[in-house]
Amino acid sequence: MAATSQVRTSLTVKRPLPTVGLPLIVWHLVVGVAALFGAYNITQLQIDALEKTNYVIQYFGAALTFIYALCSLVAVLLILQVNSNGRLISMAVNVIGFSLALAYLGQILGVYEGFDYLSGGLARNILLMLGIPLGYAVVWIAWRMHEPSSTRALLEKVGLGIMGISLMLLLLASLATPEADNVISGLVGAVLNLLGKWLSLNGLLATALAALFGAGCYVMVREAQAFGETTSQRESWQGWLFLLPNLLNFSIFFAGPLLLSFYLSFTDFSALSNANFIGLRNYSAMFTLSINPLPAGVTDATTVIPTLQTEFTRFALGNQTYVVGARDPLFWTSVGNTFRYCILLLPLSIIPALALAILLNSKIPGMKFFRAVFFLPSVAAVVGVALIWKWLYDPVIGYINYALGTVASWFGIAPPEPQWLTDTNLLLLSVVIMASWQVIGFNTVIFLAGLQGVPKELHEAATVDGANGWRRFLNITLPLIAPTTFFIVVTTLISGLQAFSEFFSLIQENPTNAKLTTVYYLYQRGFERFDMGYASATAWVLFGMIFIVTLIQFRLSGRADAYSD
Amino acid sequence: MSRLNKISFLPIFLLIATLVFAVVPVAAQDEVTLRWRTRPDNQAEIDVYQAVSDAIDAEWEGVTLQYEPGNNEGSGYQNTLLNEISAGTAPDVFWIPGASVATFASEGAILNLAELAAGMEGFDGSVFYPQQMEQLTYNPETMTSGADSGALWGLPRDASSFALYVNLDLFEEAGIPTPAELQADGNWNWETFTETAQAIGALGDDIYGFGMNAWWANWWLWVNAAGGGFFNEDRTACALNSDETTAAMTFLSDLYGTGEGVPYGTDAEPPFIAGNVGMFLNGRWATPNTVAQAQFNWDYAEVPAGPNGQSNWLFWGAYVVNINSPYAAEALELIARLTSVDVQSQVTALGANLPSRAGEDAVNAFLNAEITAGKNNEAFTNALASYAVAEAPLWSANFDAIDGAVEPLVGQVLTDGTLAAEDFGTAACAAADPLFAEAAAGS
Repeated sequence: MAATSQVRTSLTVKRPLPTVGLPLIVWHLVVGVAALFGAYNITQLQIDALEKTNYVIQYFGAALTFIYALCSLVAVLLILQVNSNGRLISMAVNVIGFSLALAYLGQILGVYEGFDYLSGGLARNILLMLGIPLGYAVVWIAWRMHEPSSTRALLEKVGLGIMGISLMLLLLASLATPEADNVISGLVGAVLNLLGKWLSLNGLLATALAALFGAGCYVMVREAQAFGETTSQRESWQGWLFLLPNLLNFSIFFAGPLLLSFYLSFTDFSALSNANFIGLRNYSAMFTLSINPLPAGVTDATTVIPTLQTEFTRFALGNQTYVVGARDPLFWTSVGNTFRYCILLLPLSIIPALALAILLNSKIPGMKFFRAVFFLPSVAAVVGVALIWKWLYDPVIGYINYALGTVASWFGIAPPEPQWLTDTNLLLLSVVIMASWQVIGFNTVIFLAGLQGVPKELHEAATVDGANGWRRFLNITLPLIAPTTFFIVVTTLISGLQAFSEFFSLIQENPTNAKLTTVYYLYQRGFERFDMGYASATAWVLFGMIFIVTLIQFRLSGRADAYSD
Repeated sequence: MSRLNKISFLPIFLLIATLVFAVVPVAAQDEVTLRWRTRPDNQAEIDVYQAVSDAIDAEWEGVTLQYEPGNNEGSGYQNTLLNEISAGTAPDVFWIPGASVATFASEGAILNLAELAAGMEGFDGSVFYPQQMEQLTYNPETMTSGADSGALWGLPRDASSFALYVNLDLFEEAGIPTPAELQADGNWNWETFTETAQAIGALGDDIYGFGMNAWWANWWLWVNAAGGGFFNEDRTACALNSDETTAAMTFLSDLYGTGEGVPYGTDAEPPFIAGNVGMFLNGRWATPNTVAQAQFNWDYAEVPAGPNGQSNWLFWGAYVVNINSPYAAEALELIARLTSVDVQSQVTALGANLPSRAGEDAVNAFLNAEITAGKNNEAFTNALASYAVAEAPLWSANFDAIDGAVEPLVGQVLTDGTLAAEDFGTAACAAADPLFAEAAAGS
């Protein structure tokens, strides 16, 4: 409401155009026209690298440039009216321009390659980095001295010196190998190289652009009063400024690829050749199903299934057997496997986590240690965890079967020899056990946070009323941690629906389709069968499934929310 | 302290920032820069390839090489390559598996080098195994292969075949002749193989006579040895619905059904390395790990002869040239240098593969490699020279899709028996043929 009134005020009160207004108007006109010209030019370019995706990325870039141009031109109009929104748009245009000019300058100077090269050098000369902790240790000792003294100052200088010198040595050593003959010639050559690049036409142009955009932004920041900036407006643009790096990152590396994958889902893109638009064909191939009655005495389903379909499953209604044919039975198999996996994963990763959290919530010595221990699997890489579990599950040399055999021998019975990774009845359970083991620690910590928010008074009151521990758990603890439980159920389910690494790492060798989750199938289609278009479509269908499941959960969570108040 | 921090760190920071910009190596101007990549099996191979690249770079005037170690098979070599090809940033020269040549070529991602090779002084494709060159010179338009087919998709980096890794200690314990001895007597066939596996398996509940991993080349090997095949003559349809396939699947099904094999679908390498498997079927690539880990006496043996005689695979991969490389001639020259006897000898000395050159010098370099000195390395070279069939790219459909449809059926036969061996062929073709039809409709 306050913001609306401020906008109204800014529109109605006529202020004089500040001195810098005219140059800024000219600047934004130039930027706007140049960006419009740039947007048009981008659409006309034939960038080879973008040909495979039908220049969609190029058009996306052109659209963004066009929006940028419009913003700059709108800024012109609003600055003419001394409108505070015009100032904000001007600042945004200048900040983005400044960032892009700096990024371009970095490209010209080779800073990105430089980082790459430097990281290689750091790896080669890693021992020299020991000077940094050593120097820090000296500074740390200095800071332990309570009174300022010459010794403390000296130690600080020595510590910082050690850190600085080791950094210098590290950089010089990295620079010296393997390209340069020696450190000095390498350094001189590299600096001359840098200067040469900077003093090139493009280097100077990028520097000038960065300076102009920077100046434009600086001027506008200083003209707050002239545009009648309010406190909330200042807080607002400062907030957006903080968000800007992440916003740019999100737009370029997340939203962009997301839109591209949506486009690709309507193509036959293979990653190797150019994408052809095929409309909804990927989606229709995925969802084409047919139910066909099988004549009595016939077992061969191929006689009743339409061309290009294969048998997915068959069922009986009364005396009639029906065969379900599908264009892509593996997709349906993968969906079925994914949901079965989630159904097993939810109880096996949530109930033990709750039990553990209750145990860890008690005041027993050493609980902090155990909390850390239980959390450890959550931070371990799935591939590493899978390797360990693969050995544990191994039917020949695995410890699980060995333990089962040992226990069986105590009772004089034949040792059970479950084939954890090959028996299709056990396969899913094997993966779920491993995945649960890994996720329980995380869920436990979340539950623990929920449990610590349950007021002790309620338990005390219930105890006074004669409620036993189980009753208190059922009627007090569980309802009060319902929002926590809901959060865990939602996040576990979403991660379950996206399961891939667990299956890929643990049961990749399994020859059956029991290993196929939707994401695994997506991976196979995209990276093994070069069918990126279809894989993109599968990804969007999976997104739809996750969205619907989560939406249903949110609808069902109404009761849980009632307790959260 | 805060002032000290500001004063001390500001120049340091500035200097570091300047150096970060400045440390970029000065690239020589007016030089052809070729980026190349291959899929290494381990760090030792990366080191060898880097040394090879540096050596070629040093002696090659006007060309600078940038060797980029690719990820290994398990960590997405192909994923990275695909992304780079789609983004137009793939290296000039890269390695791909032999079976992928058809896809890369038909999608227009790699260059046909035939014309360049014809004009290249000293180029001789006949020095490589003919099975490989037949695949690499296949022209899909004329459906012919050979030096004058008008197609050359690359040159083979290396080769490999299957062999049995034999735990000699278990054989000694069982008191039975080794596969090498049986072969010397001309008595190494499916029957004696089964007897041998049974005798080894009888040594204990946790001892298995035989183990192989669950992917196409393993079960298909036995189908070939029985005289069958996956595809028809012109490789446009499934041919697994044959008596020969049934014979092979029955043989394997019996072997697994009686518990002689490490359960199909389980990685058989760990139990073999642990000393619990008598005969482990695998390629040369399993050698470095076996040499490093096995704590028992072991050797290689040839795969037993089936009803149709001996059979094996010639596994291979090829260096190919990116279609967008501006330096095609130099790229071909690089491939030729990378497949020289000298380079192949250095790589095969690490133990994971064989040279793709069939000549005596290359083969001897392999046989005399220190890593497996004294072992029956001829188990590999005999197969390559005499009876191994090259894994062949499938031009008429997507092999991975077909394999993905058939492999689960193999699992059903060999793991839980939910599909009978005699029904396998029909079921496999019912699953595979629609994919051929789909590919034909698509093209």
